[in-house]
Amino acid sequence: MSAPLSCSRIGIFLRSGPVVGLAVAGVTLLAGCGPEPVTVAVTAGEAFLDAGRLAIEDELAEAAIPGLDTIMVLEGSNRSAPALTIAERLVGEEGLVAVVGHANSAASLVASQIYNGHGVVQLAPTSTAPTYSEAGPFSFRMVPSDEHQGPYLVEAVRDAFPDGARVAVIYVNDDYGRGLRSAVLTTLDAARYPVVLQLPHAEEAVGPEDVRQGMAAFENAAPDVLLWLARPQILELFLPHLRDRHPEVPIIGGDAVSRAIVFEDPEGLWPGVMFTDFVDPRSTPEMQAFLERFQMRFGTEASGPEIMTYDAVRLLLQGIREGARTGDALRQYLASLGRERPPFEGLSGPVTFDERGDVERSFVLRVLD
Amino acid sequence: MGAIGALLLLAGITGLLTISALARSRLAQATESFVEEQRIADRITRGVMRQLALASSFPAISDQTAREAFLQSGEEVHAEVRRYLFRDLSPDERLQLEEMREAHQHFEVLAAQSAELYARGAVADANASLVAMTNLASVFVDALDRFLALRQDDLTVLQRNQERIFRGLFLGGGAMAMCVLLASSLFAWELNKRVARPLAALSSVTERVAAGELDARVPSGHDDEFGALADSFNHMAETLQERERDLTEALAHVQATQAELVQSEKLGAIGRMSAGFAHELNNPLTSVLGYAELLDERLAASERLDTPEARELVDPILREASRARALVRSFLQVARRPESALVPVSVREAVDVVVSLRAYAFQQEGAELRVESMPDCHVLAEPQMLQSTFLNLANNALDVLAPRGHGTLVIRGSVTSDDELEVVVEDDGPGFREPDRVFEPFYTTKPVGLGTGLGLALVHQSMESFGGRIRAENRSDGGARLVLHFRVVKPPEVVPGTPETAPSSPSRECVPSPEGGNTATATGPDAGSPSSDGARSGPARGPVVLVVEDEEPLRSLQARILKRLHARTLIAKSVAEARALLGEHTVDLVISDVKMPGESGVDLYRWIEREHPDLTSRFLFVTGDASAPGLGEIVSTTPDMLLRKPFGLEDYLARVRTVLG
Repeated sequence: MSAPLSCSRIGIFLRSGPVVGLAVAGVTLLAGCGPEPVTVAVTAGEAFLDAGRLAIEDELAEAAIPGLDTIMVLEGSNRSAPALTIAERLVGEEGLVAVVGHANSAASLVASQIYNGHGVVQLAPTSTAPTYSEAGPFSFRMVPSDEHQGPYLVEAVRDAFPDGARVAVIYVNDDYGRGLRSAVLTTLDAARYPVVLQLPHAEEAVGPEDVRQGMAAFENAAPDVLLWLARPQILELFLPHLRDRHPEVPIIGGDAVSRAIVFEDPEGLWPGVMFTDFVDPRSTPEMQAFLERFQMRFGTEASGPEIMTYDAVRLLLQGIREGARTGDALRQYLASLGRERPPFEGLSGPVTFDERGDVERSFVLRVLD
Repeated sequence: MGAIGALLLLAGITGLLTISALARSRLAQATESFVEEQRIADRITRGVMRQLALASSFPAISDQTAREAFLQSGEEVHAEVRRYLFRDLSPDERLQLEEMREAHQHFEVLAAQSAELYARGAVADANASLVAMTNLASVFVDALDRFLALRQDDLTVLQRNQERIFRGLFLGGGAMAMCVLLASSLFAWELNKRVARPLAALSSVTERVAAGELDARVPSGHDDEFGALADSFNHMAETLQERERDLTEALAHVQATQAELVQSEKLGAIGRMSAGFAHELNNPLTSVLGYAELLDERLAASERLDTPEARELVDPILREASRARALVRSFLQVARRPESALVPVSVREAVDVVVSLRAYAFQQEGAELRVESMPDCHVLAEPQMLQSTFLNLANNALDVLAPRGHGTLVIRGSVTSDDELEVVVEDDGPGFREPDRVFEPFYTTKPVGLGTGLGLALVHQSMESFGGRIRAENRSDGGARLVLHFRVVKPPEVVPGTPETAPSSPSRECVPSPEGGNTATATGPDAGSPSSDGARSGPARGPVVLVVEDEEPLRSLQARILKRLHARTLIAKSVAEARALLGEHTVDLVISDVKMPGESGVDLYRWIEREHPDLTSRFLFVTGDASAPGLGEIVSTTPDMLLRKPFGLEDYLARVRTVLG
């Protein structure tokens, strides 16, 4: 007699207007119900969710996990406040033991206190804000802190301008941009590379006037290099002006640039833009195959953040499969990787965490072609 | 009780104080936290004000210094805002915090824009941004105020909760204290009622019982454990009381038994001495009495010899020898254990015999012997001893009444409810001087020579052997009273005719001998030595009798008596000679002494059992000590085999005739 071994539900929190909606389109896959439900949620942008779906499918394809329930939450905003609502909602779900999310550092940071307060493991796929290291014992992340990315970016600047350069820094004025800017400025100051422009912008509501004034400030500062410590959607607004009037100024972006938008590039604006990423997706056959499969499945190109999300989901499911079916057990499981047990072998390579929950890996610099 | 109540109250107060302390601690922590948050808010506000001040200088100072200072202050403000992030906040407070952070984010963006505009000379746009920035600063401060208001609300709620808790603690504590006091009082009252009072009563009664007041009882009436305890205690006291009664009775019985044992031992010692003394007297007395009787017969047979002078010499011998025989038998009776068989005997017949014997004697002394009533009951007794018992009592009374020249001895009997025959023998004499000692051997108040002091001792011993009892007391109106109790039994269907079992009767004592007046057959000149021919005499052949006796006078006496039966007498001085004669002669009867030098008569009997078993039924022991070793076992089944010394002629001849058939 063969009994159903798992109960898997995939729910999608759809976007409703400018605020994250909570309408649930129930796409429920019932493969059976185990005795004790154990729930894992993925909350992030759409591409991240797609990576999460692939991870769940791949993991369950190997073997069912008794009682597994999964929730997918689409975050439609880069603001951090909506993440609080999502987190409050998720911790009320039965059997929730882990969350992969959120969409950015600020959102992950504000939600981390909810999860730590309820003993739920949070595994942030792309959050690099240094403050996240202090979020609590249940907070882990798949990427290193900006304490490491700042010097890495400056090193890229120094590679391009070994004799010094005037540096412009445009950053998003949230936890991500502020933290990365702080790390970059400290390193640049130490390297005696003058920062001629520090231009913050808000997370959202950047319009043409903002771009015009920003370009004016940029041209007034006359930098040799632009460090873009913000998301690519805003850079996309600047790029036509930059390419048109200052094609000689290299653009080096942080990890936030690594999004599908930069690879689609219908107007050919992105070639030559450099950015840091957590992995080089084309460096291994496995990641190459993942990119192809992702492309074929969802019609978009995946990058480092999707791979991080994929690895994060599979890592949690593997921990649950190995018996870590509570938040605390899963926390101990993650902390034991590379210590009491072997590292998790993901697409991105071996995964282990330090005592603060930060992954132990470095960055790579990629150039868009 | 008070201590328990105090403990309960103390425990309650401790609990309340603990709750109060915990509540106060929580309130103190919340207050301290709020104060800390106020300090953070102060720093944030100062930071924003500084940023505003720096931003206001952007038009005048277009260098990087003001901007860097602005950014530095912004970093400090941002860091302070993030310090709120890791505090214990409600969801609303977190949302408010994010609103505040976003306001500050936009504030800084506008400040940066304003600075860039001032730098590029776009003063109007810069001023507009500055105004917008100032507005955002207000938004930020308002958001901060709302956040702090929420936190203050939390504190207020907490304070109100604390107040409710304290109020509740105060009221609850007071109520609890009252309840505890009330409960303690009730408990103490109930405890006093249910425990202390019964316990005190129990303690008091226990002390009384311990002091020997065994009839003290605990008042019952409780239906709880103390009631059961009181019942148990009372039961225990009753048991103790019963046991004390039993012990007292047992002690009295032991004391009585001890007294009886003392008396018994005294009697035993006296008896043993008397037995030895009587035995030594028996043989010479038997000879004196026997020869006196032979002399008496000789005198009676000859008118020539039977002169007054001869009678004057012979009669005192006969009389005093008979008296000595009676005295010796009394001694032996004291010494002898009651070994005779007890049979149903009519008390009335025994009393009648005594009355017929002693009534005249009483009359002669001016006194009276009277039987008022006597049921025709049979009691378990030895007939001869029973008769002697009443005879002793009558003689005792006569000895007392005779000197007074008047008085009455009354005998009356009745059956008690215990199926006992109670016989009261009382006189109107002076009474007993010491009633408790009258049964002691040799205790007498009679003048010297008038009493041996054995009469009442023998009576006491006889009554004990009958399974009865006797007590002595003085009558309230003067005189002595003896009360005898006998066991009543059914009368025998057939009264055995043997001398040992048949009731004695006066006629028996006067029974004349069948050969009474027969001429005595003298033994030959060789009497005293084994003889096979000298013993044969007379024309007709009489029985052959072997007499075994170590004392020559008794040998001769018996040979003379046996001549009356025309018996051929063989004389043996010892058992060895007897065995030799039995080997040479056919013997019809063996008459043997018991105590002899060397082998005894019992040894001879045992030898005959083996060698001449047909002779065992024709064997007669003649002895003054029936308690000789081994003799009792033999004569217990055939008492006719025993003839006691000193014997009379007729007794001897009658017994021999009986054995010879």
